Amino acid sequence: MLETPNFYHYLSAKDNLEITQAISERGTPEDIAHVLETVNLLHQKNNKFSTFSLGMKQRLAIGGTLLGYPQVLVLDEPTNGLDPVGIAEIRNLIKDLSSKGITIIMASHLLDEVEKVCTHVAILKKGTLLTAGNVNEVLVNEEIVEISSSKIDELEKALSNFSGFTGLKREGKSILLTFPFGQADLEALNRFCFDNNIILNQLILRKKTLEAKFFELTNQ
Amino acid sequence: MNTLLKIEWLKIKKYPAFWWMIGIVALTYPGINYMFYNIYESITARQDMAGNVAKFLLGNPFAFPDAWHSVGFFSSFFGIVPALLIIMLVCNEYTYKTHRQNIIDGWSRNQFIHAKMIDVFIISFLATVSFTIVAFIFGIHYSDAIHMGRWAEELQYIPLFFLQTFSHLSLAFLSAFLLKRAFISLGLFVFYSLIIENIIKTYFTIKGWSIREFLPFEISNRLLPMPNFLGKIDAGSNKEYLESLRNINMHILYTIVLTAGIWLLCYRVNRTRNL
Repeated sequence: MLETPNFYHYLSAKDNLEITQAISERGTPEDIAHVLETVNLLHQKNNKFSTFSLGMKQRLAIGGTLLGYPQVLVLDEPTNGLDPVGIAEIRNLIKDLSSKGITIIMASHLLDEVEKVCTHVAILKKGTLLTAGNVNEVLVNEEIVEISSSKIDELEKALSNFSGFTGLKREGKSILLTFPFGQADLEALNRFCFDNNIILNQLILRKKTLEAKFFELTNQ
Repeated sequence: MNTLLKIEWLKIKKYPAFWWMIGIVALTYPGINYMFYNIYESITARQDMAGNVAKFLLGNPFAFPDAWHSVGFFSSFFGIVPALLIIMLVCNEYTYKTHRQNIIDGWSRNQFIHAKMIDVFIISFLATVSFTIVAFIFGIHYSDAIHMGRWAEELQYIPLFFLQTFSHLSLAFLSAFLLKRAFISLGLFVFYSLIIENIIKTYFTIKGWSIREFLPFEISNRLLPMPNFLGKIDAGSNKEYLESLRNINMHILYTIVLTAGIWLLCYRVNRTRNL
């Protein structure tokens, strides 16, 4: 599926899928109603394509790809140009299709969407595969804990005796501690500070931003 | 081919401009012929010697068998109506990028051009059916018993009308296919067919040899020569008229060669150009 849905603007959703089915010879004309139901457009099947919102147009395009019950779908930027509601609709539809056993390969620059929708990710740069694997491993392999206290200098000094973190950075009145993914133990950190007579007034677990991770991987 | 026909029909049948075109053709074909029938009547209405001579020489061009020729000639004035539809159908494919989608969905590039040729065929066929119905009604209405018996003569003007329409619509297709923008294609089509070609026809000669009969529209316009009653009633113009009838066969060949050339060019361009 292309990033922009291309259909005949003067035809209805059903008529457009009839043309798609006749050209592609995937499925039968009887499948069209089922496909429209899957993408939640059955009630608008007789409405003209030109009256659809971009989200509905994108869903119809996904519907077109579902004719013939394919096992694998390749979607190019399916949420491109959509408003938050449209993005959520497409996200839910993709997850729904995935739960029915369809493998979906999705090309996207929206890393946030990739994290929310995909199970696996591959990052390419100029045709070269930089990395591939589970989304949590590739895009979110570090955790950052932000802590602060009224005794910030004592806190920084005490942390030299705390183990497990891989990096420490002072940022204003806060300290950022970097941990490998899944190893930040907030309870232990809080207890350690308390045992050292330091009361924390802030303790937040942050994931490394996807954007930062992406830039790191692509060296930009 | 049946599948392509079915798919193109799915695209056309719910296109409002298509039904507008059918409606306009249904009105303009009888309208223009009725207008020229009134001109003919005014020429022959005089009760004096000149009027009787005119009536004797001209016969009734709207009675059988001349109705096929006369109605075909006048109806062809409105070739611009189906041409407009062809330009819109083709340019819509490029504006909404459905040509790309059709090819991604499974058509080959050649199948896309086949399908558009089918569009041109369907619309030429419908225009020909409209002309045939109008000519038949005019023929029945204006024929006396003797002329009615000659209704099957000169039926060759039906395929000639089809060939002329197909050729004109192929030129409209070429313009839309190359330019991809409806407004520009239509502007070029109308400007060339109505103005440029007429200027070339009138003023341009190459080393004393007139190129007028080989111009894209004129080639097929000569399949349906101007009926005799519109010219001067003298021996010279009658000779010219008979000459134009004799040249029809040669122009059938020219028209087929031109139309085939247009489609071959489109196939060639479509194979190499970016989607």
